[in-house]
Amino acid sequence: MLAKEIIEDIQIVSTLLHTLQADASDIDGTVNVEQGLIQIELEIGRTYPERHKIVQVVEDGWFDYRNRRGTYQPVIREAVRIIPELFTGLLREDVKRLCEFVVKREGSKTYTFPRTLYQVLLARPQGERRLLLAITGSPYDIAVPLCKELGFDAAVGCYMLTDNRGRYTGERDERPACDKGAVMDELAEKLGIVWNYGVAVGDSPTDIPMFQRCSFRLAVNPTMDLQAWMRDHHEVNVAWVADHQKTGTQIKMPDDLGRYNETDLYHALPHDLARAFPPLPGMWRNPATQV
Amino acid sequence: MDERIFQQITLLTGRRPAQTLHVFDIDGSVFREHLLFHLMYAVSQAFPERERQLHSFCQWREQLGVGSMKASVFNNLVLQCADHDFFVGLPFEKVGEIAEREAQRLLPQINEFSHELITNLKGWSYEQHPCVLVAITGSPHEIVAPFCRRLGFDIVASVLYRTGKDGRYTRDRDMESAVRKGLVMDRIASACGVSWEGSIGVGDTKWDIEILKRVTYPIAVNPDQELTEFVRAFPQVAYVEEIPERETVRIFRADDEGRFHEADYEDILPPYAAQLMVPIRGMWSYRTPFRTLV
Repeated sequence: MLAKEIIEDIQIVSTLLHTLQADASDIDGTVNVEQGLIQIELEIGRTYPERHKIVQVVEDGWFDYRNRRGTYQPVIREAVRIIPELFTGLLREDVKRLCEFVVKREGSKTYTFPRTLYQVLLARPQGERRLLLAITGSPYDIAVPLCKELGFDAAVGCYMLTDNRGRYTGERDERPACDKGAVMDELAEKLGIVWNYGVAVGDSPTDIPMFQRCSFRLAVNPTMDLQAWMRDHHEVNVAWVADHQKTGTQIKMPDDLGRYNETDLYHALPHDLARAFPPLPGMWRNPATQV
Repeated sequence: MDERIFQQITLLTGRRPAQTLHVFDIDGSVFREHLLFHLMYAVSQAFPERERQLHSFCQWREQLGVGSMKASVFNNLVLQCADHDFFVGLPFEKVGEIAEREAQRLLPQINEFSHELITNLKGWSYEQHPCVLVAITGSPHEIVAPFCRRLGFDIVASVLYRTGKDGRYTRDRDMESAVRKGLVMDRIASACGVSWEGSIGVGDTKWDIEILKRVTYPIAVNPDQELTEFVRAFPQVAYVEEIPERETVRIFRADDEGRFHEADYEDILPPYAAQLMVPIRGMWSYRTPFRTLV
């Protein structure tokens, strides 16, 4: 079950905006270049020297990955494994302050396309505006400041339980990391959130449930596993967004053979969004849809 | 043209007549980053009098990482720093040692597509497909030569920073291979007595357009935005997208409207080269079966 705090957040914002229709986006890897969980763990290791030993394995793996001597998977596996040991006993308020500091430092490392897409989604006129929700595997306490920075209406992250003194117990709700479908269904059931005709943005196989529930699906720099799934399930029509500082942004859609061909935004987004979307460097402009 | 390039050609053509030349830009096309930057970074760490530049390098790298600086601006700053007498006065011998070490260290950071292509072209015996690999780049010879030698290049045209009698760098430089790649290509071809017919050319910026215009099989690897526009306008140029963070490669060809369509090796390479190229992860022909995450 999702934490009361998360449910209340979404309830308040949906009441304020008079809508239950929502778009969903992953954060880590999709819009944010860095992984929130890893960054906060490294910061805890720096702030609490007695816990640095626990973080060491993540720090070493991260260093190797950044210097292209190692892969990402073992780093994130270790980062998840050490959560109970690392967080247990820490005061939530202290960690929240650290999270805000990390977001201030790392929050600007984002991809251009999703950032622009959020701006366009949030600028929709009243009546057409939908909730913009982040569903992320990062801890809830880092997801909140990061999503605030990016303009999200609310964030659903892995909620970590605290005892009556406000200290983490080491237990957490892992569903936003590994079962986003269950999270979306719970929000639909409890609050009446409607995902149909929404936009889903992701980058890894854990985001597939979002693609299955929303009507417009975008994978930003998808991982190998998601790429394979996208090609094998080309009928789902997940748009492949390549977003790089050097080459710019390109949108591609699959053909019947699972081969991706460039297209304009009108094939990947609702028409009002495609019209409002500013041209980004590197993007193909269809002469037929240019005014 | 630099005497050293002529020496390489003479040495090569003395051994065997060149038949087909394949041309590669190095920075961005073969090596994922900028060899000049890495050399300057390592040099500034070794020489205390270059500490101020080291501080700037760290800042630029950070800004590049967070996206507040464009890659093209970063490259320009690096070039400006080199232009601004960065090497002047430094001992050639010590810089050469640093460059050798850096070339070895940076070798794993090459684009997978370019690596596969170079390995494939070098794999053919001279009797089957006599070809010569040429590198034309704007980085200094000190680092490019050992880097390219390890990859199997036959001819290397790079920027030459000249030294004085005391063995220290002077202000004198030969920048031709950085800014006039077409001219360098013409001279190499005429020295070897061959044309660019049947050649493969690889580049990643607008400075490589002269390379791509001359060869039969032009390929843009992770092109910058200016070259991407050129590729859209000239559909014969292939577009290779490589994302190291995702460990994937994809190949595209533009149609008449400038729209990219996914393609395969045989669409962009001569048949003899395409037939032995191994599909790389992410390519349409690779088709990894979807693995369920545990």
